[in-house]
Amino acid sequence: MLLTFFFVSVQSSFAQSVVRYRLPLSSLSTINAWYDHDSSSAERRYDGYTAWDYPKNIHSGTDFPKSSGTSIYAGAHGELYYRIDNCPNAGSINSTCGGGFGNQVRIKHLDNKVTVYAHMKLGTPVGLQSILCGAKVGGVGSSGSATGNHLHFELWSSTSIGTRIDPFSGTYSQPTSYWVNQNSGFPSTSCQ
Amino acid sequence: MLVLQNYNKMKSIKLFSSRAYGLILSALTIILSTSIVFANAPQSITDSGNSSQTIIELDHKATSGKTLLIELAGSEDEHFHGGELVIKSDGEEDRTLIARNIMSADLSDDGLLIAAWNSDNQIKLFNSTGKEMRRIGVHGASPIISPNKNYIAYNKLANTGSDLHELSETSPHGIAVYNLVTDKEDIVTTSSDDFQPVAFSDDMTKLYFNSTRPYPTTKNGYSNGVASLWMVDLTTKKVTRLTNTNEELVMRGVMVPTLDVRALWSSDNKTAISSTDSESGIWRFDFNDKGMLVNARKIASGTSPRWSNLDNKIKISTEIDGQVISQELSVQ
Repeated sequence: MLLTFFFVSVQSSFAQSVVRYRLPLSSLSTINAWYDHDSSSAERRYDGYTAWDYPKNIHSGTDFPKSSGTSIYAGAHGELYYRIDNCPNAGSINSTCGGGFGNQVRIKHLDNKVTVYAHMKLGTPVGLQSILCGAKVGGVGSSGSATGNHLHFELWSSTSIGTRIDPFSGTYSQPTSYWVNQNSGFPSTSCQ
Repeated sequence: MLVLQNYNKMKSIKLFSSRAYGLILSALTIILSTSIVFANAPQSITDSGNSSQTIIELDHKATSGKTLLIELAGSEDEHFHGGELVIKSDGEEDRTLIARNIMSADLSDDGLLIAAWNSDNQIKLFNSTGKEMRRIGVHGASPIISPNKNYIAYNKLANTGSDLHELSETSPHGIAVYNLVTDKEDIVTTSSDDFQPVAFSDDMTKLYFNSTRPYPTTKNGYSNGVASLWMVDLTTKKVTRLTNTNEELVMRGVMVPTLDVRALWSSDNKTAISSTDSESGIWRFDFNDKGMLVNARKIASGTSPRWSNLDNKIKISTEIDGQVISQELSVQ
């Protein structure tokens, strides 16, 4: 019984410490790229589905196609600690501005994980600040290494880009979803 | 077929030397701020009927009559793997394939040397017949060739890894200059925010590059990056911000776009016309006799500037209701 109590306590503590995220948009019609779990060949998303069929796709985020200027919202409470603006807005495959992310913001959350919102429209990323879940952080664009308007969303375990993780749960990802409600692959807009 | 026209007449920038340039720039930026309007014109493209292929004109050298093009096939997602790099001569339809899976490239003034960045984030040199000459460094992006063809400047990327984002943020990174004579790479800046060399100075002692280095106003060391034109002294490695030096204006969102590598330069090197994207429009950068930047202002909406009369007029393209309109504009 003591052991059971211990596990329940740990589980409860873990549940409280893990930040989960809302959809960083007001609605979702489609996703056109996921975190790639099979970089040696075709993209294999969190549930094993092979989404793209051309080789060497190494994609470490989730792409939400939306029209230019569509509002992007913070996935959870946190500190907006990094911001890049003024990258050329033209969709191009040959821009390394912002490390290829283009105009972007990065938010450090209460569990020290980081969410990245990339390829924003020129002039839309908001300033450095403490920010609440659901607050606007910028607009969809095509800056950096992008060829069309979309939000590229990433989740990092720390402020280092080398710690990128898939927010979705599944056979090819981790067992716990980092979305408030993964909703069968279409995350909800509810905050934690 | 979509045709994005960006003509290049790469010329070198003379040296900036005055300590007062920052103050002048700040003052000019204040003066100009009232007229800075970020136009919402669409990207200038010409639709010639085949939506499955996009052709980007990377570089045009009037002296050699050679043009570098990238032909992109398939969907936008597939463009992440680059396209076919081809070269053609003015007035001719025939094209010579240089390499596949190319992201960007630069052509020497004489049209004989090509520096190309491929989708594996490698930089390779080719001659104008498509023969691969050599590889430069380990990983890199956005190469430019010096006027004398002795140096290649590029965005230095980390030696291990393959993902562009990670390569950009993992050390070593910054801007590197490769000396083709001594066969040595010199990493001249070490900030992951430095992303694109623009031009060498006349004497090749200085290099101009674009960077999103943190703006002076940062909170607790937080990074508030604004893409600006910077300069590095290749001997001392000292770096200097040249544009967006007025903190107050930048915080209000009034910023000067970066100077594009495909800018048009006047024959006296005193004027550069640059169109980094359709949102920003076409900008004019003026330099004095010492090569100091003394003015930067938007002169038109639209994209794709090219000289229609060297030093006097440029032809620009503007897309209105799906129609591409060309017009001439005096730059005197």
